[in-house]
Amino acid sequence: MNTYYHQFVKEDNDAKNVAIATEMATYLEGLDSSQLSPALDMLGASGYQLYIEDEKGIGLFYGGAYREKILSEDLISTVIAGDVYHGMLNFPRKTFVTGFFANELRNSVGVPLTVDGIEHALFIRPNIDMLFGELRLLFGGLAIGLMLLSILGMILVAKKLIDPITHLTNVTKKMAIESFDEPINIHRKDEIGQLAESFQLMRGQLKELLKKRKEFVNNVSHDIQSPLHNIQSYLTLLDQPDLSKKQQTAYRNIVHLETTRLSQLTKQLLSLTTLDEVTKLQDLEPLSINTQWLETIKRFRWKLEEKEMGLSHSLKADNIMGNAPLLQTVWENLLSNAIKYSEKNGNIYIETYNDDNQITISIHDEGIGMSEEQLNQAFDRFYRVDKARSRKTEGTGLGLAIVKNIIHLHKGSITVKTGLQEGTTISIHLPKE
Amino acid sequence: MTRILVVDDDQNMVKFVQIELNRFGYEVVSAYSGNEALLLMRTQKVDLAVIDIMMPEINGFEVTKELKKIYEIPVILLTARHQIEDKEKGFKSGSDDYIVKPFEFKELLFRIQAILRRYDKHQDEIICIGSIKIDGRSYEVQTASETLMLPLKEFEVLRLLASRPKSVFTRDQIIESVWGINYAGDDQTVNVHIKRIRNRLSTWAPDLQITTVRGVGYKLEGVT
Repeated sequence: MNTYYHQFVKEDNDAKNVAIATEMATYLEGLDSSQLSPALDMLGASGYQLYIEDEKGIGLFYGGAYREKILSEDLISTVIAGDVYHGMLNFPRKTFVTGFFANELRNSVGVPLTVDGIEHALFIRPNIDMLFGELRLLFGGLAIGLMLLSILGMILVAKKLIDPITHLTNVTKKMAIESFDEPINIHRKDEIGQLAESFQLMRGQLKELLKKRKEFVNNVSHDIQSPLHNIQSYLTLLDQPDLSKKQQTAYRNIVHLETTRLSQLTKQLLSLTTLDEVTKLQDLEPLSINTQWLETIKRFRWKLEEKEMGLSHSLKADNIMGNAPLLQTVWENLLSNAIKYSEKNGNIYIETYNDDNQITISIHDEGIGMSEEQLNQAFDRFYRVDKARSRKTEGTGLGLAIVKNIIHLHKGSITVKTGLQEGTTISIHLPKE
Repeated sequence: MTRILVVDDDQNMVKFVQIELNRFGYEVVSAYSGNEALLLMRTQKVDLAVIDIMMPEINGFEVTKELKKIYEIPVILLTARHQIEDKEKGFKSGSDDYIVKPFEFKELLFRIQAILRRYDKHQDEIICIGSIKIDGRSYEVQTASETLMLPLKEFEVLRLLASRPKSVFTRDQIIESVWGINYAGDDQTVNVHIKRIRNRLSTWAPDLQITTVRGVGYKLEGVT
């Protein structure tokens, strides 16, 4: 702006002021010396700073003194002698001080003038202070207004940013006391909106998790309590003095069955929680699924014998990388289920074979099968196909949950083909790698 | 009476097995170490030994080797699950079978019975008939593509019939051979087992069939 002034305005300004000064001089020259002073006063009041000096060197200011009054006597003399002083035009250029505002005598224009035969030099410059005083107020007001406005705007924007965060904080606090139903009313498309969306998702999952955990604990307590209850009841019954041998045996068998169930339950719970913590399998080793199956079949042969069941196997799968004890558990669970849910004299078929880049292990039984609804829950923890947790078949309802867990850890998949009274085929697919 | 030697350094285990085996009509002599077992064998006649592998001083493999060399009795080894690889070593040392700990008593009983039956009847030969192979040692039937495991009684009936194909076996012969002379069950037992074997053969070995010879008994023959 300063540059602009020096470059373009200064010259015009000078010329304009010289013209005004010349006019003033012409007007003043028409007065006599007694009228000079009031006239100058008037001119000074109209927005000009004036300095007048006569040939004797007596100078007077009108319309406010100049801040700096440095002008050589020689220069004033030349003006008195008839020259025009172009102080504005020649005012030295300083980078940061706008020449326009410099309230100095140097920064004025001077014209000669003769009043009553006495030579004078008249220097004028617009009284910027006076002219701009009001403008300054206006600008100041404007600036303060703008500032207030922007602060207000900032507060509004901040509020818009902070409000949803406060809202989320409140919801979080509610979540800490397990209340998940506080609505999240943030519908925005920006980052905050995304945050709210992920937050809602997380909250949903947390809620589900908590629900599952409660369910799990309920199930566990139920499954631990009821065998304990049975053991207690039947032990009390056994205390009765007049029991027949047959009754005694029957009651003892029940106690035995229930303790077995408890022991199995704790073992399986342990392996499930251990599995839950594992996200990636370590200690993978090359292993023969076929050998594992032979071993499993051997171990269950007496159970097959108990139910007088037949079993056929055709084991042709290649070796894969896997965790031997975990997979062995899978085969044991599957075979144990197949036997458990088969009728007496039934048959079981076990097959392993190569299938492109995976191997498939399928176990088929001719047992009671599952309805679609039962199948949907079969791999859930504590789900048992025999309704009402009947004690007719042993088992904890954790077997297939463990199977699912282990197979997923091996990046494998499970497919089931079943129908009520149609038997069940469970196929496990494991990548060869 | 059949006498069984049980060797394990876990005394509670031995006691439990002893009580249970007694209940099923077996006489039991017990030893808590390999040395004790070998000493016992000098004075007692034993029909079968159940031996734990993990024992101090002389382990189960060594005991098995000794017993097999001198007395030629069947041996079942007890192995913990994590040493299941030892089963090969077990078979090399001469054991007839193995059981993985922890086991259910019924499993042990099943294996003892199976082995005793095999030794008793010296039926560890393999019979080939039609498309199948009947292995008396493992109680398995091999077809072209599959291995079958039948319930023991069914297996024995099938093996009996297969031992002389096309010959007729009377119900009494079958009962005597498979269930024993003192069997007190009814005649229907044989019928029921024959029926079950037929069912299983129809899926696994359709080239074989059991024919009823009215008023006489049963025979096994190829389908023509």
